[in-house]
Amino acid sequence: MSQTGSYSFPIDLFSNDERKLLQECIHCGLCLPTCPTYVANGMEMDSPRGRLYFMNAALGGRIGLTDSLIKHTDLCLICRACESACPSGVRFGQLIEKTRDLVSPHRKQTRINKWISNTILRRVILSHRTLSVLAGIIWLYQRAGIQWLTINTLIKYLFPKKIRALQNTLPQIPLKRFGKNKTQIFPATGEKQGRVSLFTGCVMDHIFPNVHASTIRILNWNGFDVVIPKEQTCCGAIHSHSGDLEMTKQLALKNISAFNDNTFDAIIVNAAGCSAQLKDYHHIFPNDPEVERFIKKVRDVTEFLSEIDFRIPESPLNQKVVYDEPCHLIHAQGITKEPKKLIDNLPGITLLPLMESDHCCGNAGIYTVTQTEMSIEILDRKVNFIKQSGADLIITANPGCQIQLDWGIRRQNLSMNVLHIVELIDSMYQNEPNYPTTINL
Amino acid sequence: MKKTFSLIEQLQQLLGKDRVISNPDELIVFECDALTLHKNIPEGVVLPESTEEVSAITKLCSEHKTPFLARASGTGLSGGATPAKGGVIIQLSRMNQILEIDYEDEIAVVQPGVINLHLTEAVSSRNYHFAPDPSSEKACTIGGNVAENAGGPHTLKYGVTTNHVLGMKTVSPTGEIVEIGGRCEDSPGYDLTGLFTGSEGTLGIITEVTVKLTRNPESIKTLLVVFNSVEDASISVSNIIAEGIIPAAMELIDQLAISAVEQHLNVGYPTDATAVLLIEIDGVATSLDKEMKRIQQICLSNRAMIAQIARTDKEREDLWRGRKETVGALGKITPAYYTNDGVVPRSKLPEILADTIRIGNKYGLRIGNICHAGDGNIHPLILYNPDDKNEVENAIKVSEEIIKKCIELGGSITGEHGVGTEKSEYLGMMFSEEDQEQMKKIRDVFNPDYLLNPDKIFPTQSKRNKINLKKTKKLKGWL
Repeated sequence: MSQTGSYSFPIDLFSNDERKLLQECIHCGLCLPTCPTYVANGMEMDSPRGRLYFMNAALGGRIGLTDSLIKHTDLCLICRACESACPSGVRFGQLIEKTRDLVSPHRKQTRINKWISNTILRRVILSHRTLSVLAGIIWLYQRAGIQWLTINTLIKYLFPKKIRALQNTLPQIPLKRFGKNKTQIFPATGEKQGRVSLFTGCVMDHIFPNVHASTIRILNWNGFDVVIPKEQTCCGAIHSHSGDLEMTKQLALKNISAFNDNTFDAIIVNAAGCSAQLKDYHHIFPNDPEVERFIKKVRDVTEFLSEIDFRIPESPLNQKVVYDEPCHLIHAQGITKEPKKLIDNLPGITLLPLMESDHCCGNAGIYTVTQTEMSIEILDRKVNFIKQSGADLIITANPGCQIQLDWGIRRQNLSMNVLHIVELIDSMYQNEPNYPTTINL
Repeated sequence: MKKTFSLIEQLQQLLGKDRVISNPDELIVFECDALTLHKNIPEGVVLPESTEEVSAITKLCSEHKTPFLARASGTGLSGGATPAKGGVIIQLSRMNQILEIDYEDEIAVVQPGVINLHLTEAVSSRNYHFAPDPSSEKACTIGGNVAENAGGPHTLKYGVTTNHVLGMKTVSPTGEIVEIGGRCEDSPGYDLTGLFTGSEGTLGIITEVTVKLTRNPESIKTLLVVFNSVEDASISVSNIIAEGIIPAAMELIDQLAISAVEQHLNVGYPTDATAVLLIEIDGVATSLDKEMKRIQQICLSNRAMIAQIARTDKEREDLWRGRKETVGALGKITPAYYTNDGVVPRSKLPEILADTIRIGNKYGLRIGNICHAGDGNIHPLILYNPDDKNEVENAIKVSEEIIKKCIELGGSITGEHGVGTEKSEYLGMMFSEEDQEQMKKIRDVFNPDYLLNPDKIFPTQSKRNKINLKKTKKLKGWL
């Protein structure tokens, strides 16, 4: 019953609109079974209804900013599955992010938390060059096969425990990275359909440069010029999830200006977490016409491909696949039919049903590091359902999910692959004559 | 206080610290279920994972003379899972396994924390379902369904929960594990399964249930009928039944409820309709067309504007999603609501529905109506502002008047939500003091110290004095 720091909740925490949102929860409980943390531990405090109850209680002065409020706020994945389930349309994600922003100064600052919020989030991931160097070191480290050094020897004490755990989650880092020294333009192949820009984000350039390359190639092949503006930066999703609203604002402004170009038909995003965040910029800057114009153009790549006259690959690929739905695609953007239809229409591919495909895999940004135990519990449940499905390939549409699912199948020694939907499509186009084969990474 | 502390300690020894919640900050989320009018904070919450653990918990609570009760999803609407006298909540959400599915005997054995719809999903590939379908089916648990004898739209044809329960494993307040009923219909001796179903958690804690599985109908047709008046809609309901047609479900939704649904869910109800009927028939495909035609004719002869059959599965699902999530959607139009639950003979529907609106107007509160019209089961939705004391009081007054009216019309105080804390004061409107004493004798056989879910169903002493007793039924002669 420890109650360090009992601070009162400022009455102006929520705007009038947000207070109204909070009141729209009328305690029906339909969200409970959709919440991965409630499914895992069965505790009302770790359900969306329970968390909203805390917010209400804190607003009414019934409880302060105590350890338990912080604990249950932090255990939320912000997967927003509850938003899909809510008959009243309570925008839970927005409310919990506000609450996180408020509790973050009162959080017990462990070394790792401080390090993440100050160094990693505010510096490292915003610098393409630093990330490049870091990725290079990790590549070398993985290649040299010296993981045992940090696992078995005294050197391990140089790193916080959670970082040591994190190294298991990391996939093999590729040597080549996606460069962003200058604005790049990749011209359409064949008859031109339009001109789009690509949002490339932060860590994807280094961990999944192939997803960017695949995206560009399939867009070119479908008749679109692809422009990659140099001045763009991280979308800010991780910052806003961890409650750093100040940084979120700065990043949003930078991106809005980087993509301010009338010649773009759309701003294509191949990471569901990023497309969701970009589309949410109007919560940060309400009623701003420039922001509205920007949002209108943002398209998740799965959404965009289903809007255009998509070129069906010619040669079939006989594979049984499951599609694990990224939370930020299905729950945050309501995009679920589009990717499934896209996969189902690919020749030779059999899309099998997957239990709880709409539940989070437990990655949720830095959740794997901050809430490792819960993240693993959720992941193992997910992988068990994947095993039962009988598929030999897992398709998803978000880098975080790719990392997590890849880790999940390695944890259970399964021989399966995880691919982004664009990687699957790209691999099926490969043998067609004149298909663009090289992208200068 | 010391006594409770040591109970919590003992519970922690039994279950480990992470399965016992005793931090006052955390306990507040357990102060109510989906009935938010009545609240009380428990002293502890425990999360058992087996029948044996439940048994050990009840034994400890009994030894400490501390009240206790079972809870899972907390979706009940009569306060059945509200800790009216504090004590310990036995949270059964972790006991959520389907233990056995037997298609030859058409039964399933489940733990109480299994979500209603999850059972249907588990057997749907074999064309079966679990028939009781409360509107909260996505979240409510089968243990709770049995405790409250839950109904749902398809009750009209398929019956309520009790018609689908064959047996159960229960734990008595002193920790004995007792199995009642079995895997077949009608066990010899007293029908204890029937007695436990709907006992609102006051006779024992259910830790396993054997339920019947129902084969899916060959074909289903769903009709949306739009009316310009609630009266025309409710007359159509009576006319259809009088014709000898028993639809699988027949639901009435009025304008205010529609407006809430369409604000966020957008399922395709016409927002300018004064009332809609959602009528579903099922059975052998060849028989449905004729029956559906007759239903449409009856509705049109009662001045229906449109009578449209759902063309695709998606349309049908949307129509049902709208109906089932109406209550949840009320958040769009009100900060709080009170879903009432009353029954009248079907033919009295027009009268009672008009009365609900009139009573609401009298107290200045908006009332929406959704009802399982085929059963005469009404759910007036009383909208109020929880921060306005006056409105809260008025919401309760409105409810009381509506319930009185139901009884006057020959109905009852609850159709499917249970009495709980919500309606315990009204029990005296239906049963004399003597009748109630007889019922309590039954309870005392199973729950002698009244530690298990106290202050439910029967009015507490202080409340009883306020109620004007009216003798309507006599049980004494035959009990």
